[in-house]
Amino acid sequence: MDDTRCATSSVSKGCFVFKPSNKKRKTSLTTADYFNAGLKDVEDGSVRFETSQSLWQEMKLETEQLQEELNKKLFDSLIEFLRKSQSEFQREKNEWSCRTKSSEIPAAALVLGVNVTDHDVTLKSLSEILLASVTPYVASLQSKECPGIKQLLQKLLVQLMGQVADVELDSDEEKQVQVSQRRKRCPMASLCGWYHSITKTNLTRSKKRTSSSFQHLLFPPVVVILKDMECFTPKVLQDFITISSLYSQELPLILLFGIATSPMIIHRMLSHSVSSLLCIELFQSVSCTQHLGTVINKLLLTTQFPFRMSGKVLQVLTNIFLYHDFSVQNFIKGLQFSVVEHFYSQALSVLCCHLSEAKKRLKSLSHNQCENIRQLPSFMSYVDLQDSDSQIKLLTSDSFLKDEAKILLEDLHAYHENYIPVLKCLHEFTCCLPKYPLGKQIRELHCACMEKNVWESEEYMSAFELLRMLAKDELMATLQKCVEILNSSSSKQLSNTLKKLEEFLARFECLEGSVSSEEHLKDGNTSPRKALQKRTNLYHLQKTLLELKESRRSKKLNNFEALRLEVVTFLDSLVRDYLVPPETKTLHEILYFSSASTLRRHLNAAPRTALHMALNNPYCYLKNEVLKSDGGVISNLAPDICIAYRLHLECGRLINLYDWLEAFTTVVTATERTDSDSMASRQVDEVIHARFIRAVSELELLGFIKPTKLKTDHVARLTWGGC
Amino acid sequence: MPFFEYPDYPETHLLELEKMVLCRESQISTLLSVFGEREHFSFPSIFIYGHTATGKTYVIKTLLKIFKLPHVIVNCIECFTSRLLFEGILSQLNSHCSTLEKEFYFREHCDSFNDFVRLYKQVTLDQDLKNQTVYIVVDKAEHLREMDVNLLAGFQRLQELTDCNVTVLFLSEIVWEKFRPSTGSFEPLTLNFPNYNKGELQRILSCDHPPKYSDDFYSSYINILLGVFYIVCRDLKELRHLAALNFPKYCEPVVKGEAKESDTHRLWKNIEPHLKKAMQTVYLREISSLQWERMQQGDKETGQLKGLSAQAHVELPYYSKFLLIAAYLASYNPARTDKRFFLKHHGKIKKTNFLKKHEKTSNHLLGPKPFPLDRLLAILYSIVDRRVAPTANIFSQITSLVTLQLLSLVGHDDQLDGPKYKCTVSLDFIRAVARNVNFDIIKYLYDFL
Ligand SMILES: Nc1ncnc2c1ncn2[C@@H]1O[C@H](COP(=O)(O)OP(=O)(O)OP(=O)(O)O)[C@@H](O)[C@H]1O
Ligand SMILES: [Mg+2]
Repeated sequence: MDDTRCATSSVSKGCFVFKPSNKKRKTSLTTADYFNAGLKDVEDGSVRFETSQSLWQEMKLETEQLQEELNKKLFDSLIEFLRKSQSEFQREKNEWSCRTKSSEIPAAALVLGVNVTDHDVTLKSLSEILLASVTPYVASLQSKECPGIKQLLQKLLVQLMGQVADVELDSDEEKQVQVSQRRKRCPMASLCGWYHSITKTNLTRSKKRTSSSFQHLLFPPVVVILKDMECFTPKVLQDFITISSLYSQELPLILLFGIATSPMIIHRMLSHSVSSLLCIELFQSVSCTQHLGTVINKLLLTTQFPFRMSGKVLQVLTNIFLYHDFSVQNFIKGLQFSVVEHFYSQALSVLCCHLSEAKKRLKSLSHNQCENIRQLPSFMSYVDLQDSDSQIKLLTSDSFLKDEAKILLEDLHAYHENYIPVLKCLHEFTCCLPKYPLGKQIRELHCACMEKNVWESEEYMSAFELLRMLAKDELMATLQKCVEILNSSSSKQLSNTLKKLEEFLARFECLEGSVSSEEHLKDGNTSPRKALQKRTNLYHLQKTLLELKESRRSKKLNNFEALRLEVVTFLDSLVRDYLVPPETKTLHEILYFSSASTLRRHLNAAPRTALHMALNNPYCYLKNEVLKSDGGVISNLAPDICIAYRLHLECGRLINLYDWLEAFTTVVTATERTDSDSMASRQVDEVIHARFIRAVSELELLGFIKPTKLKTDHVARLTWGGC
Repeated sequence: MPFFEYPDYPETHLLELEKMVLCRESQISTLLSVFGEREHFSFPSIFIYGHTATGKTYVIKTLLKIFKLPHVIVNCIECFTSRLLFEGILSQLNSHCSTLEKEFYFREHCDSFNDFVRLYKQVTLDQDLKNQTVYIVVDKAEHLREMDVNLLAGFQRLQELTDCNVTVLFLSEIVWEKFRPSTGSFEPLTLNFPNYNKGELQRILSCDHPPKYSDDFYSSYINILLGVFYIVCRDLKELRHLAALNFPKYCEPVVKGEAKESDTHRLWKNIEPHLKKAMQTVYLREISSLQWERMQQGDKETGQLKGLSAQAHVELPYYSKFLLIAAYLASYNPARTDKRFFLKHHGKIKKTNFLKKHEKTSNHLLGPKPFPLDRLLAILYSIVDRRVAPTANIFSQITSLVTLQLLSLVGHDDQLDGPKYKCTVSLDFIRAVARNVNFDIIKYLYDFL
């Protein structure tokens, strides 16, 4: 013990623990340090870091707000349910029907969808809301904490009763704890006792304080949230419910089941005798696709945030969402990653902020950064289009460049201001066309527009073909919606468009006045689109389209049709003007994160492929020139495990160890002894033998092979496929 | 004149018992004769069994209470460890004489049966229970089998071990033979509580008629109720619950003045379809009793309420759907037939060619078979149109499906050793999933070839 005091002078070879005397002896690295340390382009590193952080904070706030709004309806109905159940509990106990009915435990089945990763956030905010407005007693349990009924009750009691919990279940380590205060009761009984003593004190306290600052009910319910119902063992759950039902008269317990699949699981897990102890009501949360739609709308289809994603990047994120996990949280994580990666990898991202701020920063840009601008591909092609005079100026004068860049930046921001409302208008038109040629969700349309000139695509043409047949009422309703969208946008350029649309509307109304409905009743069916929707068959669809075309050609256009054509043409011109892909915009690299492959590599990793690559072609990771091989040749300089791996690829399900060793020896010694010292090679070198054994056991550790009892001296392959 | 005649027990008590417990006369008289006089030793252990809601707990509790016999009731579901059980018994005994208001806690530790015996003796001495029989009622005794091995045998021999005047009553839903007691057990006296027949149910249920209505009115209601439900449900608790739930509907015409209480036919026509509907909904807990009550009161919102099972649809990510389909195929198709289904040019292999004798029975009748991960992935790759990269996401999706209980992991969890899975979803479910991705699963199922 004394040694530690003069540890440095100690001669004994001991192991001493130094407690850090000063907390700040080794200053830990902050996130900013990590960010700056790895930066390739150090220009404005700290500014970039701060911008990215504040931007992300804003975005995060927005997502949280949006989640709150989305969940509001669900939470409100849940709270209503809790209130009702509680008042049921407090009802006159001696009323006849109450006496005769069995007292059931109220339970809410919350169907949350298969995106399990999102549940935590939802349930956390739920319990916060409950704590704030319904009851101070909320406990949430997770299946992995509750392998048995004992642990479940233990968790429950600790969460509800806090430190005072006397969970004297027979666990040895707790034996020492205050033996005198120990109460010998079943956990549920002690919970019940605790509840009564708490409410009694509350009651006297609330009597004293007549001012009703008392938010909760007089007998607040005890809410138990079982986060992942599917994963609980049925027996544990059944026991818990049975025990709780023994106390249902005294303890107002309410259960909330978090369900990922379908409410059928309740019947699958609970026997009839147990489920008849419950009074189950069903609640459904918003679907995850709807949730995603809102997130994209609020974070990406807005000018509120300067950061933007290219079509490819968005595609990667939505693909992960749709194909793999349905998780909005993961989508948001991906978004966060994109933000950080953008600011990390793009030196000019310092300008990725609101326009006024960007202009300021532009002025103080260093020469290096100006060079960076000149290197931007979009800028280079812009320069190419200028006359030679300004080309030279752009490439030599920083101040001229800055002035020019300012205009370009303004242009870019204006582009977004127009792009988004026009996109929304177009979506209004296309979102309910039969077969959704341009997609049902606005994100699909958005991706299509960012990909290429959307008006050149086939889908666009067929969509417009359909639009030219819209019925009047639908057309007018859509126009009305577009007017609303444009009204709420701030873009100056679009004010003319707005006027034009309003004018269209007025003219439609006029039409209604002058030409009475007989005019287009002659068409037979007022809405060809409605007729089209009925015909789901593709063949029929084409036929009707053709017929309609014919009839249109043959007949002279009436007033309505002429106007309709005019509207559609106008819409087309809007699209051509405003929905050009961002890649055509100069300086788009500043705002757009477009490295889809980085994103994919990070978010959708393929460990199997990577492992195979590393073992099959070590050059890929080691970057050692000697290892560079083309095709089937195995270099004997490759790491042993790579050689063993390559050889095992050629084998079947069972591998003969001796043959493998032979092959291994041949490869390893291939160039060492070109003079084929056959006598020595008969006798396997001990060192090579050891190396082989090590390589094989490494492969076993990695899970490629395992020992087998089927055949002696053989191992079994666990992967399939050859080279 | 009471039905039971036991000179040892006061007549008023006997009459009270008769009023409270119906249709259990023979069981009660057996019990009373076994119990004998207060201070006499009784049978060491009595095993009482019968289906749920046959009044086991109720009868014993009422009996012991009315005659004020010293007793303890413990529930094995609630006291799920032997320690909780022991301490539950001891602390109840400890507070036996004290008033209920003041709670006494048993302060000492009791871990083993040995301790229990010692402490039991001490407590009975303290509480002055030496000269009368103490009854220990162990409810839900079937759960004793899952606890410590010596527990059951110990309780059976408690009288002998403690050398006290004690009788242990086991209440259980299953027969004594199923307990397979270990050696050294002492055969208990068994007593069956048979199910109530229709008449008995009618008698017991009619007892709790509401104060506002006449006896006959309620018992004719019970008659209708039993007419509908007796075929599916003989559970007294459940029937009583249903009776209470639907009674307002039965009274409705009377309350509205459309019918008189004696108008039985009219009332029957009113209630019968309603009860039939209740059988398919509340009784199955498809909708909750609270919702049912609201529906009766004509709440519009709950009018078109769907039951729990109506919402069987599960929305899954795209590849999860295919993984599930692949898992289903792997579970229900013999592995030999994979070539036939998934190789492009499998030639002409007729079903009869690879039909083995024992496989004539439908695989769907036999249930899902386990399959290795490799096979799942191989099938997945061949049923998805595009190339599927074996990314971490795909693998974690398999695990997610396991947590969602759509797949289940079979056997030991040695991660490296090629895990095996089973698909647990139904044919209807998988067909809905397959339809969603335009995959004709029937064409790929061996059973439907
Ligand atoms: N003979 C009877 N007379 C009056 N009421 C009865 C009678 N039998 C049962 N009951 C009523 O039925 C209810 C259920 O009975 P009890 O709880 O005793 O059933 P049980 O046999 O213990 O069932 P379980 O095996 O599920 O515990 C009791 O609360 C009681 O009100
Ligand atoms: Mg019972």
